[in-house]
Amino acid sequence: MTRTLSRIGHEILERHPDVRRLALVGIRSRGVPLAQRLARVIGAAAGTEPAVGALDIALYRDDFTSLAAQPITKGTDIVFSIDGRTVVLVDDVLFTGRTVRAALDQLIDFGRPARIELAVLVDRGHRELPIRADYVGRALATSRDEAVPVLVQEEDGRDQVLLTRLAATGKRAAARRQPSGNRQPSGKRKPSARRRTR
Amino acid sequence: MSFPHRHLLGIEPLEPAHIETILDTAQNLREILDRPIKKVPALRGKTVVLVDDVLFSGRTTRAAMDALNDFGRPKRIQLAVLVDRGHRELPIKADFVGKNVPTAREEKILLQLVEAGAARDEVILKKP
Repeated sequence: MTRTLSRIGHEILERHPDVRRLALVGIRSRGVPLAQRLARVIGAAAGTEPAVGALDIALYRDDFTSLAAQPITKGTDIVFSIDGRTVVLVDDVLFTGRTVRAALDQLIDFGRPARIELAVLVDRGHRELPIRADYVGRALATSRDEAVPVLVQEEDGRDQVLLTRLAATGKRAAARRQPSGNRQPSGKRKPSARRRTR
Repeated sequence: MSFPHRHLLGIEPLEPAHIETILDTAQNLREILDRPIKKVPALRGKTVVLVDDVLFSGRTTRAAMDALNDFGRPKRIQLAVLVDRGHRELPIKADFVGKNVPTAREEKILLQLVEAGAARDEVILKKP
């Protein structure tokens, strides 16, 4: 994971050498630590770290009423102006694209970024919207009844990308993106779960 | 919101011409909002293919996705464009592309359709 983030960080820097006009915005919750790590990678290579923010999209989802009666929000935290900047959205997994659409909506409510790009650790396919990532850690062929939980040191105590099978349909939506920490799918883990560590 | 505070707190320095522009803009938005959107079937659970002539920054597509979501939550939205001219400013891609045309930012692509009164269907790349 460290190597992948390092590569993505350098790709971002290669396209946008002017770090002051760059901002990384992580989508809660796993995107935030990933954005911070990317900022460190870019900072180490360029001498200046780009601004980092966090986006909580729970209220912008088109299906938020069906996930929970009271969406748990941890708040959006962007303390700098995004006007005229290139904003790179950072998330752990790109799946249907609905999270990204919600994030785009919220960002555009915040200001007028010159450009919005998307960086994800895993692209697992099954897009339901015409969204694509500019930077991809790894493209993973998955089936719809699988879940791809990403664990990160800062939130879960370790770095790991898992591929798990959900026990029953219907849990997919719940496991896909819960606003808070309990994203581990309740389904059984596949015995031969492909796993990738640091 | 990023609305500059000086506009809200110090309205005095604004010249009459500015105020007129602001009011005109508001009026135009009002008219656009009141415009009825016709021929959009119920979309819940359907796959919707958005069709546009030219894909450029992606901002139009994003706005169209937003508008679609007001008509129910489609199962899937795909995008079909006649011309993809690059220069994306949002992470949007087309699912179906007629032709990729590398362009300079200042160039313009004009689409002429028989339905719109043109002599024949034509896509024109206009240099600045």
